[in-house]
Amino acid sequence: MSTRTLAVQQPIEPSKTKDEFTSYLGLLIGLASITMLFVTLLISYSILRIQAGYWFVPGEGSFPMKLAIINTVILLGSSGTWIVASKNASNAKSSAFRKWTLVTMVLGVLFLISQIVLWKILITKGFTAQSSIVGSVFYMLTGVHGVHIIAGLAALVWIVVKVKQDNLELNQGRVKLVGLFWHFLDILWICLFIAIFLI
Amino acid sequence: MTHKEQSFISKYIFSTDHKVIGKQFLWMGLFFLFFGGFQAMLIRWQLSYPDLAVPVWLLGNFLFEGGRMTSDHYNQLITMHGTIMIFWAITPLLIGAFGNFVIPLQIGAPDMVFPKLNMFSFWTFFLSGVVLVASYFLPGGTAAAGWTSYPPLSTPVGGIPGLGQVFWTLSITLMGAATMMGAINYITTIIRSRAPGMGYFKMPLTIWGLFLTSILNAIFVPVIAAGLILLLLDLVLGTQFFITSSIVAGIKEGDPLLYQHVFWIFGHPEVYILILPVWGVVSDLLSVFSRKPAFGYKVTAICMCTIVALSSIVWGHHMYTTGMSPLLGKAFMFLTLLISIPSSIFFLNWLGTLWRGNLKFEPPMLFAIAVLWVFGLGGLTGLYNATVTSDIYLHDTMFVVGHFHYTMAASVLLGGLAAIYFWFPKMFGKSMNPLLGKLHFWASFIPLNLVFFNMMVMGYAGHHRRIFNPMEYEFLKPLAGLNEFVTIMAIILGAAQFIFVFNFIYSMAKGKKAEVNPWNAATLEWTVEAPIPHGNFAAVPTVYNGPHEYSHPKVTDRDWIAQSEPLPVEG
Repeated sequence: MSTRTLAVQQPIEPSKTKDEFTSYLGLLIGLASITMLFVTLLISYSILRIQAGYWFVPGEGSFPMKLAIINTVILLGSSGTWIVASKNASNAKSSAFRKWTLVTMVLGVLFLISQIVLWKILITKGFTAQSSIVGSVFYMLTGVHGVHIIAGLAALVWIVVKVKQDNLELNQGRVKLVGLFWHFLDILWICLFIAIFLI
Repeated sequence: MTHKEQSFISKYIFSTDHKVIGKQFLWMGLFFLFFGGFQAMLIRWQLSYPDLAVPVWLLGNFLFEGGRMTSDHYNQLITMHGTIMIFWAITPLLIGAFGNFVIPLQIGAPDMVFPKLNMFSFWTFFLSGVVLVASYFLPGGTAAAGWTSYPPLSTPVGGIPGLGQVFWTLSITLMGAATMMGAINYITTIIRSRAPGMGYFKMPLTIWGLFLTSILNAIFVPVIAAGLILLLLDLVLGTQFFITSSIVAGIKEGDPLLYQHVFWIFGHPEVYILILPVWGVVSDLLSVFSRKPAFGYKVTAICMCTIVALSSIVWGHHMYTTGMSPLLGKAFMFLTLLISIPSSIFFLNWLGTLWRGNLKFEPPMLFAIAVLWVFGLGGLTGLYNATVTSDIYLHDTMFVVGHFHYTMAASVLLGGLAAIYFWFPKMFGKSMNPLLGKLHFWASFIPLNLVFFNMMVMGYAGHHRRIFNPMEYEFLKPLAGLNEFVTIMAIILGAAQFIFVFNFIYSMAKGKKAEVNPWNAATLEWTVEAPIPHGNFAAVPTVYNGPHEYSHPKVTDRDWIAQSEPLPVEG
């Protein structure tokens, strides 16, 4: 029976079979998983809120709403600067791409810093994760999102390093993947912003 | 060779080759399987001889002071037995080891599409195991709130002190992350890397099972991750997501039932995550060893898809006794019972495969047929748990324990062993001793049934699921003899596994060199010779036939034709 089997000669290179769409699909499945994580957190939030009987916006009357809106604008802006960066990438302008990616990163870091400032202001006002279930939900949702922003920043660092190592031409697919992830985090934040502050 | 020479570390430790990663998962899964199995022996000892010290051959004096188990020890044992068996034994064995080893080989791919992610998945999994084992060295011991870790038992107000629960939560979260990475890889690989000609309905059913399992993993593991994040915050930050209804500043605080919902939204698909690969493997093995095409191949695949869809909307049947609305209970009951339709259909398909087949009772076949038996029994007893009226009586009894051990433990253990016996020649290039394999089978199958069936009998008689000392209850005293019998059978079952260990190690070291295709199987992994090089196939195979072309009338010189061989032209 072994006469009919294939002889082992030159094995095919594993890496050659991966194309852009494959990576894209992998990322989409990952994003679906992350979406399920946040959907569960938001559903838990809504059940807790329905059962609570009474709910209030974090920090009540003295809530620094302006800062929260500035935060959101910063993150939205980072999506905008990324669009500029990726346009430059597809036009093969390497240095402009790097510049705009750095701007995106700076905005991402700024978002995290101002989130921490927001947390600090609320904590000094006595609105903590332990003070009430409202606080628990607020710090939990913003915290879990913050961790994902850190992952997004890591992805931005990774793409800058990759482009520096090879060239932009080889990394077009990766630029798109990083962009998809970054925009996803942005959309996620808009959903959370509405859920936490507006409803 | 296009490959540069690899160092020992990059070849065997931080390897990106799916076959090596599969073996890494295999070792880890087997280690935890024996670890969890040993804990089961201790649990059984306590249930039948609560007044005696744990004997030396169960390491009594080494584990407990004076060999006497306390109720705290017992709670930790049942918690860790369940946790380890589900997440660190079954998951790595079926999904980690065989998922990795078999998927690229059976679909004709050179490797997983994301080899680095694959490696990362294993090492995250390894880390999760380290965190779990580390919890044994904590001053307060491991988690002790049961494998489901229901609040309030699992929260600081539950009265179980120590960091065990924190470690438990962290390790499961890490394990979930590893599983998710695996799922991304498996799904993408199966969608994108199938060899030319390998349509979805030409994939072996093993691949179907692993594919659907991965989809469930990608969707539902994040759900439990969310629940665990909330539980972790309750444990370390002092939030009150799951701590019951104190009223602070006019607001009703958390809800322990919320955890149960989140847990079972994940938990019920999880049981299908565990069993789907086994269904696939068994469907294929029955066909190989009956020398017939799998009966109703497409229908089996579609039934499996239907069950996957249904599995996500039936979680409430774990919660009938939580005071849910009777209408909701009925809805969950109806949906749950619907699952019996597709399950019965593919069960009949299995019987159809066997019908008038040319049965070859090799060890993998024996284990595969055994899965039919134990899964049939497990499935039938599931109906009693799914029906509200009988479940209210049976809830939290040994009946439930017997039921889920039949479906999850027995089916998956026997299915996993079938897979090991079947793919061992391809994994290690050696044959296992068939006689020892058959001995192992009978020495496992008979005591296994006597253990789990009698658990159901005891449960029907009212034996509660998680009691430390059954002899303290007047109404359980008549069951003492049965309890003792089950324990003896469990110990025989445990001891029988040493036949397997011996056979495994001996065959690896000194076994006969395996033929390329010892079972005359048609799927693609049997066209390459072990040891399979990195990259698997010399050239991308083209697929012409379905996965079960046995006894094809056009093939005259033998009773099988490989998927990559064109059928002979009639002339």
